[in-house]
Amino acid sequence: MVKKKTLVILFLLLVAITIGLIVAGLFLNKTENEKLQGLSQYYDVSSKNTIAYVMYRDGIPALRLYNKDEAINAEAIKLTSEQMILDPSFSPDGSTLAFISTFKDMKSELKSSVHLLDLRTQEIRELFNVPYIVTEIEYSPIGNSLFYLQAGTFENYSPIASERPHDMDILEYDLVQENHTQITNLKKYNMNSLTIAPDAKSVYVVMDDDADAETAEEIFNTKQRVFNISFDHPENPTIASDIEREEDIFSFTFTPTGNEMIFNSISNVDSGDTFQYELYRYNVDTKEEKQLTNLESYSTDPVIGHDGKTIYFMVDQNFGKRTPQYHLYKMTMDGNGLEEITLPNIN
Amino acid sequence: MKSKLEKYVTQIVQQTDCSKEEKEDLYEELLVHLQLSKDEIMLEEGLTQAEAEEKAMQQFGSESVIGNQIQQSLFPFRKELQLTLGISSILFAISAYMFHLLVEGNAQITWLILFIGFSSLLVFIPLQQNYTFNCKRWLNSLLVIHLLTAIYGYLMVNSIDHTASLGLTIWVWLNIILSIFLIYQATTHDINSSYKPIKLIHIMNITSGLFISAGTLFFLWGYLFAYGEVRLTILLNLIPLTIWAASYYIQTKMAHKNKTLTITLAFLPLVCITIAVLYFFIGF
Repeated sequence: MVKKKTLVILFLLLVAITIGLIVAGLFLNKTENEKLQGLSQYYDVSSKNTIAYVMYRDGIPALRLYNKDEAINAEAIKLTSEQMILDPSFSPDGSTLAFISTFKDMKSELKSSVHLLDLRTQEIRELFNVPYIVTEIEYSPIGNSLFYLQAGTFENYSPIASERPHDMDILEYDLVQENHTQITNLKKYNMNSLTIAPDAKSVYVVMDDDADAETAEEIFNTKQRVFNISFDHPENPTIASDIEREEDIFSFTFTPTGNEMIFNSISNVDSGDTFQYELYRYNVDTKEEKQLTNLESYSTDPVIGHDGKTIYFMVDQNFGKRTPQYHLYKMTMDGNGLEEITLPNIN
Repeated sequence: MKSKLEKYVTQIVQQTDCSKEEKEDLYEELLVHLQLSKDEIMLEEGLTQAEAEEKAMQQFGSESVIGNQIQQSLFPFRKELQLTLGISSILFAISAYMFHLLVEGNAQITWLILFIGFSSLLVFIPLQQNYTFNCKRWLNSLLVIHLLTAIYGYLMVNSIDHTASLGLTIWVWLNIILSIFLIYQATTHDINSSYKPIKLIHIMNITSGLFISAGTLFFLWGYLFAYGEVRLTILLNLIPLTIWAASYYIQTKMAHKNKTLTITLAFLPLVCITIAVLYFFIGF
């Protein structure tokens, strides 16, 4: 039989341990904003092969620049843990870099700012801010304006869907006149991968092919495709990707020649396993498609290098799990010479 | 008014987790034994009745020790298993909490307090020899609550992408299995062997209860995931569990009156569960 005194000591010991753990918890507990860690999926490559990338340390976002050949390895800006940096985009000549800052808690703080970093002077200035979510920006090939995707709301349209930016449209910001022009008035459920046509007379974007969908089942079965939106008739987007393609397209880019697109799509829909996203090349003229990667992971956000011979892309090696783990890769246009680019200061 | 000897025997019997009938039998046996011992002492040593009673009790041993020994012989290893589960759970609670805190930055303080609290009770109840709280009803309630908090602990460690997650998952599942085993043991072990069907009824009901509870938790999670808030309709999810509990209660009351109907009632949820599981996994 255990003595009462021993039991009291044991009880007090357990209470002390519990209190100690609670105190440790109060000190080491992180808010949701402080939990982002490592490389994000947002990056761009300049005409001089400088890579701009966004990484997080204890939730604090930093925009960094890296060019091994030119010995560039610098932190351009660091924001607070309440904020995010999205979609850095180099100007065609590589002299400036535009990027978006917004709040992680998009539901309660619906505000986005677009900034411009002058790489020659290292100065950063806010171009504009809007009470909406700007999800992507892209320089016009001519370089005198910025196109951007803007979401009117951040919510879940269906109880089983997660909260996301919706009511998407394309706008243009004139860098000289400093004014905004709304290009589309589509209020799309989903819109991403904004790409400007080389002649700057139209844009390409990924959207749901839901023009003819009326019933719930038809809406559910809609496919994401690449659309071309002409500035002359923005109300009539036309499908630019393979109209017969059964699987969705999530992100894409055009080659400099303009007749081929690199996109990511699910490669194993029928396998019953976790989806694997691979990169594909599609020739718009010949309608030929070729799978470029076979990483059995989540390959996304292709960017074509200035030489037109290199494809940069992100891979989430932790796809399907709780926290993403992005790595930047590059390969040739045929999918050969796969190589990971080791970015500094990402851990 | 009870004699000193009767009070002594009552205290011994109260420390065992037996049914009412078994306690009556045990009380009778012990009392007769001690009365014979008292009579023998009176004859041999010429002591008064009060003195002989005192000596008989002294020779028999302290109530707590005797009660504990009888409990141990009736329920072998229950104390050890409870202590194992309690200590293992406390250590798991500390490990899982720190793991979650250091890897994810999440301090699961409420869970820590609850799990250490329930696990500590599993340790203290057998150690402090108070079988008022060691009766089947209290113990089963404690084990079920402990099981639920352990399942939450499993969800916690399983959600983390880390190599240590596997070890902690195996650890918590060993605790869960031991907890379920103790629920079966506590419910079925002390049943009067003269009436076997009731043991079968308990086993069938606990089995179906575990499946229905798991299903209920799954649908509650699905409901909260879909609606993101608690509405009155959430109570609909509790209908199967309520029917099961009512059916279990009715079965225990009518077990001695209508054996066939009772076993049929106990068997019915298992058939439904088998059909549901087959439909879910095979989709026949």
